[in-house]
Amino acid sequence: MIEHRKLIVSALAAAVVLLGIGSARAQKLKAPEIATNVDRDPIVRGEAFELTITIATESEGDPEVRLPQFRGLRVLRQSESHPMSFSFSFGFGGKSQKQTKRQSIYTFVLVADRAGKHVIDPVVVKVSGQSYKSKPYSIQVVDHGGQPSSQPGQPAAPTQPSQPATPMPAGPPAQVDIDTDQVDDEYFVQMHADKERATVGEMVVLTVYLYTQWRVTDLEITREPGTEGFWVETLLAGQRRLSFEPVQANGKQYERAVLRKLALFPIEPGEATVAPTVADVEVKPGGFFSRRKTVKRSSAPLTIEVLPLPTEDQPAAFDPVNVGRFNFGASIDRKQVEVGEPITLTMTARGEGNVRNLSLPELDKVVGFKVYEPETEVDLRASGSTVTGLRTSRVLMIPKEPGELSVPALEWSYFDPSAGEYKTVKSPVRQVTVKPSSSGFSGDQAAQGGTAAASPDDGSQDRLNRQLRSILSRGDIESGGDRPTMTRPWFLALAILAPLAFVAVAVASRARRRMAENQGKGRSKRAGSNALKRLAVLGKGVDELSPAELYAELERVLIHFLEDRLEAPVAGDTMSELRARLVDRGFSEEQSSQVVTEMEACDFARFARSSGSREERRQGLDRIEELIRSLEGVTVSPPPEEEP
Amino acid sequence: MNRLAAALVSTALGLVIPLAAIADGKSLDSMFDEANDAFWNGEYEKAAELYAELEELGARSTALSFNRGTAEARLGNLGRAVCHYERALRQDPGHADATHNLAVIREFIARRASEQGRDADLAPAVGPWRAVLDRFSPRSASIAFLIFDVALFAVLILRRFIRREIYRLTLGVLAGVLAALTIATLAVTVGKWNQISGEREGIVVVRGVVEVMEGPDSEVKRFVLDEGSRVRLLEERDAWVKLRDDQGRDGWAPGEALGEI
Repeated sequence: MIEHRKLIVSALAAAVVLLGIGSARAQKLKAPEIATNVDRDPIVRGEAFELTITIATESEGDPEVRLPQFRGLRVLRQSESHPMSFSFSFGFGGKSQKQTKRQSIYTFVLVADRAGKHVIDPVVVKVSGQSYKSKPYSIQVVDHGGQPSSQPGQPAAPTQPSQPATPMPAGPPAQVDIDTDQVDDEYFVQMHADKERATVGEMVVLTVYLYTQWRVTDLEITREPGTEGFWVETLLAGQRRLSFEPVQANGKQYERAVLRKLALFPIEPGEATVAPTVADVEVKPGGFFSRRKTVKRSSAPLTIEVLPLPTEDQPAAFDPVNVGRFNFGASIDRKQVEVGEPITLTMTARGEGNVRNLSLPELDKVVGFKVYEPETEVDLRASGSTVTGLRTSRVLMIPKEPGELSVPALEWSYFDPSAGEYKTVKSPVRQVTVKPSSSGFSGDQAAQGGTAAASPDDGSQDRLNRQLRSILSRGDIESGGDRPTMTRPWFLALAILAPLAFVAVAVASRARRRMAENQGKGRSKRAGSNALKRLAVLGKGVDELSPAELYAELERVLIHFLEDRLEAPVAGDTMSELRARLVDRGFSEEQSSQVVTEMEACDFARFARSSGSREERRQGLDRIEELIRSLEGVTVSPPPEEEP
Repeated sequence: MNRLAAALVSTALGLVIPLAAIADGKSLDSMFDEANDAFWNGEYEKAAELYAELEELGARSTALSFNRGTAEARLGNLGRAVCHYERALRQDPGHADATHNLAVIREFIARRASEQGRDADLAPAVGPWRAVLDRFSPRSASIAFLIFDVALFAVLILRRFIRREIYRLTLGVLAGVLAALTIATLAVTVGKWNQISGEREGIVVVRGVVEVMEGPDSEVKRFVLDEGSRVRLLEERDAWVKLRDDQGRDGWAPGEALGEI
């Protein structure tokens, strides 16, 4: 017994060793695993993206790797790392072999300058003298949209871990020259103004950039640019995701993101300084497995020379805040009114510049009218690289006397810095026909502040206008009338379809049941004749069959007859169950007992040693025939109702 | 047959008129933007005309009705403004801006009427059924009915094939709930249909008040209605419309004094 066990253990050990060798051989011949991935989908034209090629090999020596050429793509940066490499030996004695398991990761930062499909060549890896090739890798490059913008005046949103994610202009990296004292080798913050010299009130666009050579994972601006001495409008506040573009600064390759963009309007002449912007930048220098670190970076301050507004040709009514490029207009809402009915004079200045602070003409007195304080409204659009908008001033005027009254011409001047000159716009004189009040409203009432259409306290049209919510700028305009849904054909079809489907299912199941019933009735009707036919055949061959065969056949004829009549199986019933079932279905007690008696007689005769004489067998056959004839005329009650 | 011909003609016109506008170089959206620009420029009259032009071209939207109402309100045409806000609310009963502006204008008109010694209650008395109907747009009522209708019969069909008693019982209860919801939404749908097709409603759009007379061209005044009052339109004869106010008073007013919602 012990010998036997030793034998088994030896065999198992040998199998394990052989399995190990086989497995090692299999490992030795294992093909390298090559995977190519990009860090986003879709890739936008001009946007930097990261492509990673991971190669896992097991071989005796170092693998030879041939990387693709990236035709049609610009390589901004590339790196290589080997996060895993270990060796192991297998084999016996001097024939052991060394295997090296290695993982290599090649990372490329690429930019596609052309939209469409780009196919990246296969990676070729040569291990143990054998070359393996990956499949070509396709990327789809789509055209970029616009630069993201943000609403002016919104608080700066926290910047998310940064991956270049938004479109950037196509083409080669922009070349920028930056003061060398601002430039750090790896990352720095820069403030840039679109002009170094500006007149008072002229718009200067200040952009705060982050330059980096490494991946930025988080960023927080700890000190916003100091803008004392300027009116400020925000063009681009904190963004959820930074948008990077490749640039060359002082001959070095960087990725650059805009952190802030402000429109500055200098208030006074002289030197105006924008205090430095300070940011905490979390970066991940090196490859994938390098650690993150946070560095504080501060920009250099920025000085802008602010020139005074020219005094030459300066209009008398000019207000120094009106600097930019504007259109001015004035209109009245009604030309014919009754005494006491208000009219509204609307003045608008639309254009580019410090719209929020524009000063529009003031109406002190107009002959024949009571003039109210103006209501002003500003609709500002600060985005991209400029501030545009509309400043509206509405003046409520109530005619105090009937007649032809005039709203005087209005003059408005502004300084256009691009043209370097003052411009004056003049609105025409507006005539208003004032009729006597039909409701007896008097000029005195108007002079006291009332209107014919409004309640004297706070019911003026102008006040009403202020309470009203303004128009919607967008709406889904549909053409083709406004036919209500409930009259559309598809609505009616769907509404009717559901009950129709239900009725169809109900009718179909009812028809199926009826068909089954009809089939059953036919079977029941033919049960007697079928049984008698079979008995006639048996009668002819009564001498040829053995008694067991004969009685078995007779019992079968009787069972089939009953099943046909009852439309239900009875073969599995015990004799008492059969009797009960027959009585339930309309057979008399006597008939039911007779059926049971004959069934038992058949069973007995099949297994009895003596099978009786020929005459007795003939009598048995006749009894069953007679029984079937008697049962044939009975009206069978329907089977118990099944659940639907 | 006549109805079929009318339907065909109206469908053709519905297609052709907007196409003509587009062929003229303007899409409905650009016209809408143009009207909005006019509004922002303070040219409310032009804005109102452009919105009206859009509606004449068959354009329909809540924003369009709302904006037209707002332009009319800025022009002081408060009755017209009420009419267009009511239209906006017919399309979208939950439209917050239209609800707000309508309430502001009604309050304004009521206060003005009160100052002039009249009692103007422009917010018509609304019964509970009407209040329920006003919470639904025709579209939302129809879609809700369809969903419950289809779900009800799907459950009934499914129940025919289920044998287990507990499931059959659950489906039976669910069918009962769905049947109740189907009936309720059907009632609302029919109610909305009646509102649209049966009860024509109008708003007094003239400034100030309109005098309601005993008959067309009659000299006998029955009562006056304030600008912005909601009435039921009963009959039209020549340029006159028979109306009924929310107090049940009937009379005739010039058609031009009324705007249909």
